[in-house]
Amino acid sequence: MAEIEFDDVVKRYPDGFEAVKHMSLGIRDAEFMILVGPSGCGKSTALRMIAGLEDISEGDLKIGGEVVNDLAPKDRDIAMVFQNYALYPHMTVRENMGFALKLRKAPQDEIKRRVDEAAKTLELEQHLERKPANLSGGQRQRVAMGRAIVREPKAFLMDEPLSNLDAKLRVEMRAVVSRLQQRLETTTVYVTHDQTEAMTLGDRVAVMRAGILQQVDSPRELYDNPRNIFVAGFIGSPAMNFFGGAIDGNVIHTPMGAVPLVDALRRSLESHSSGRKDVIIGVRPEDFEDANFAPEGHEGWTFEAPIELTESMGAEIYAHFDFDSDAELESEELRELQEDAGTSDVPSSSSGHAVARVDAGSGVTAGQRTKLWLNTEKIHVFDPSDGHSMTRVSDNVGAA
Amino acid sequence: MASVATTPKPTTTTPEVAKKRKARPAGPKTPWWMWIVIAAIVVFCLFPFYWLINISLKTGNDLLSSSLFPPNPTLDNYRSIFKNPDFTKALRNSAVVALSTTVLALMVGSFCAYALARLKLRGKGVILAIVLTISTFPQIAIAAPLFKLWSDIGLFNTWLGLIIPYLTFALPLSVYILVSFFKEIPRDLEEAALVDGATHFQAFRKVVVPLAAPGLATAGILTFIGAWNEFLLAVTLTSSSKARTVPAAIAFFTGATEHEVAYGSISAASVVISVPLILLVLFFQKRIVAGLTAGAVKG
Repeated sequence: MAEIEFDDVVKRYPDGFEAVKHMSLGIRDAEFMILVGPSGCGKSTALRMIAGLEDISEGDLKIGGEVVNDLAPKDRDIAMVFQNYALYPHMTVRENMGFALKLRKAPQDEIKRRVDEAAKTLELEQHLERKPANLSGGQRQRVAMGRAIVREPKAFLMDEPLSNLDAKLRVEMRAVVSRLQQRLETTTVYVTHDQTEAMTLGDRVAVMRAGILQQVDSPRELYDNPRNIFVAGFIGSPAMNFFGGAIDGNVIHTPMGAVPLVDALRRSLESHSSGRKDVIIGVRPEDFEDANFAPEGHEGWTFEAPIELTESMGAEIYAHFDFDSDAELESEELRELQEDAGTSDVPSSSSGHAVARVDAGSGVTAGQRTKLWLNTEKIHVFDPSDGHSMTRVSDNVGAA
Repeated sequence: MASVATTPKPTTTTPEVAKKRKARPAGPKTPWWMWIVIAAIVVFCLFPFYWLINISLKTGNDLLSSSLFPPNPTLDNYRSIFKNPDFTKALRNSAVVALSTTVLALMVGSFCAYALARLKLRGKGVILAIVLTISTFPQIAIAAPLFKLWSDIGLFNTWLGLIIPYLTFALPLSVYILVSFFKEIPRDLEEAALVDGATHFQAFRKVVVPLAAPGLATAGILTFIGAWNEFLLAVTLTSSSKARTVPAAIAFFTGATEHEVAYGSISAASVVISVPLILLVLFFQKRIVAGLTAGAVKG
């Protein structure tokens, strides 16, 4: 049990590339911290630095208050679950799980007791004498987890542990991991590129991009109050819709018309600018609704849009619609976000297109114009120059 | 009555079912002429060895007979060579020299190969190329200088005097084989061991080496065969049964008179020293079968 602290940590490779740039992050004792971001954002490097598998170029890394920069992995008392499990193929499941204890010269009967206990937790009892080659993917994954928990380490490090499982098993294992962490109350750092895992598992989520920590917050806070365009676009599926617009006094000009600003939004925007200003507007798909199903008690704006495509999910319908965009949507941040998502060359992902998540009872059909409703309380406004949110309530990035 | 689609009950895999599945032919049937070709190759390869056994079972005038089977098979040749102290001592020398060479080559070679396979080292390719080049040097080039040097420093006619030059060809070979095996082992496994609390050496010994066992077996067998069969240096660098190995000792076998060539005992001795190699290869054949790393990472 221990807290982990990054204090201005830099990872620089010999060729000068900085994988992690001045990262400061405090992970509390018994906390489940998720590091999430697109591939190559430095999240795995950060995890490997905690494990001691990567050197730290600058700054301090503390585990349990002690600087561990120069400590070998074996002296850090942390357990790691690898993406490809890294089970020792020449050992049985029992030997795999007991390997760390054996290295520590724990007595035989204690090793046996603890391995049996972990196997019971993970329902691996009948597989203990088998070799990893004879196990299914899900079983191997559980052995890898078991190898970590028998050690009762200071912290668990997990490097995309579920990404090799098929979709159904992944959902199951997600629950197993979550339950396990809650029961053991061990500090856990979990790396993933899957924002669903990030949202469902973590006490707090740290979003990274290009080696820089973007925002550290609870999943709810990340979703409701993203600090910048990147976080807003990365968290949430389907992703937030962005379009160009402008604020001018009490109204915000959007492709859907000049929408009056609600008081709360207006107040937070006033601190940023006065007069007319070009902005990027972000609206989550669920903040659109079929006008006939518009919820009571919210300020809204109704507009008409041509539905281009509908995707029925059963419980809801994703309605893709086009809008006329005269404001050119230009932002460095947005372009990078699309590149990270691999959709920069998909025409529909650029401006002029949005997704609404409407009620399943809605009669939206492709090719028809439909009245849609926009929840104006939930509009996000971003500054196109630096991508920062202008509507975010508080700003406390990286605070422990 | 509404018809409802029924799902066929899944059949469980019983041993009988598994047998049936395996029984399916893996590919086209081997044509008859292929068997003739195979037989021809087998005879071509094994006949010389058979002839060696044939001769080793003959004595006296029978040695001149060219019949396919020895007219009066006898084990006299075998009895005589095992009574000959020159031969039994040579057997011991061979065993000591070949085994020591193998063990040393595997130990030093695996450290060296591990470094070459894992460390970020500039000029790795060059080092590996040099290592391989050394093993191609003709031994006769070093035989004479070594004879002089060994005489001067007292290594002439000793076990160590043979083991050291043998390592010059054994090491490059084992390094070369082991580098490719070590490279195959996923790095994650070592990292897992390190995080599990192993030192670098423990990770090497308990995870890497067991997984590279097929490579170690291959390198070990080739080294052992090379050292066991070596003749030129063995003849040059030994002078008595104190250190002379079997291939050299056989060359000094004499018949009843000095001018008679002892075909019978030479053949018997040749058969005797072939047997360990054959057993070795048969025994380790299973180890060489790959697939030991199966299941290490996601399959």
